[in-house]
Amino acid sequence: MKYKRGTLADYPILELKLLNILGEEFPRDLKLPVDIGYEGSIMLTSDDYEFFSIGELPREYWRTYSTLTGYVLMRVARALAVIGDMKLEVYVETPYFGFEKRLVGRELLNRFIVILDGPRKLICIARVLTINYLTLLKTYHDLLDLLLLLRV
Amino acid sequence: MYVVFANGEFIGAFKTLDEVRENLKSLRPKPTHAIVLKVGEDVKPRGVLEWWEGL
Repeated sequence: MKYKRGTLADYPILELKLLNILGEEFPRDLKLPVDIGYEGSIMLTSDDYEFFSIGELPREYWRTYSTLTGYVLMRVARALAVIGDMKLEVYVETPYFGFEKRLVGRELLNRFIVILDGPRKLICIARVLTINYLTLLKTYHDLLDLLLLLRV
Repeated sequence: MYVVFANGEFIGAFKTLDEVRENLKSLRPKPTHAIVLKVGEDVKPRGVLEWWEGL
């Protein structure tokens, strides 16, 4: 995904689909700015959030965030996010006293490998190739044994 | 396990999100808001979280 244009510096965005817990797809395109300063998963505007309030968590599970201007209480709901070919259960949040902001934060970003390629202005989701280290280790020991045998 | 409340009533406890979906869809009047808690997985925040920028 391409970075989005900023005033001075462009910034990474994550494009995803969101579904509410009824399986209904959120009808608007979501290209959410990546904000590692935000500890939560996905912040939406209060209008957006209404679509997901069919899966809201009890009030005791809502979160309070410390910000530069004081504390902000957020409503929290469960949703499903589709990112590439991954489908994840996620939390979406919105400030209790409505403000208009969409962000993706660390709680979601920490669930996969995100590569920020600043010079090329690209954000990529990477995948780990599983390597069987035991097999590698065995091969290494076999090689050592062979070298000893050959007295190299 | 998911515990669900809607239309001012306890709807039930369900093993999967699919069951939650089916049950919520079958309700009349159709709810626009429901409380859904995944027991054991949803955790009450133990403190204040960070949002460096803020509103």
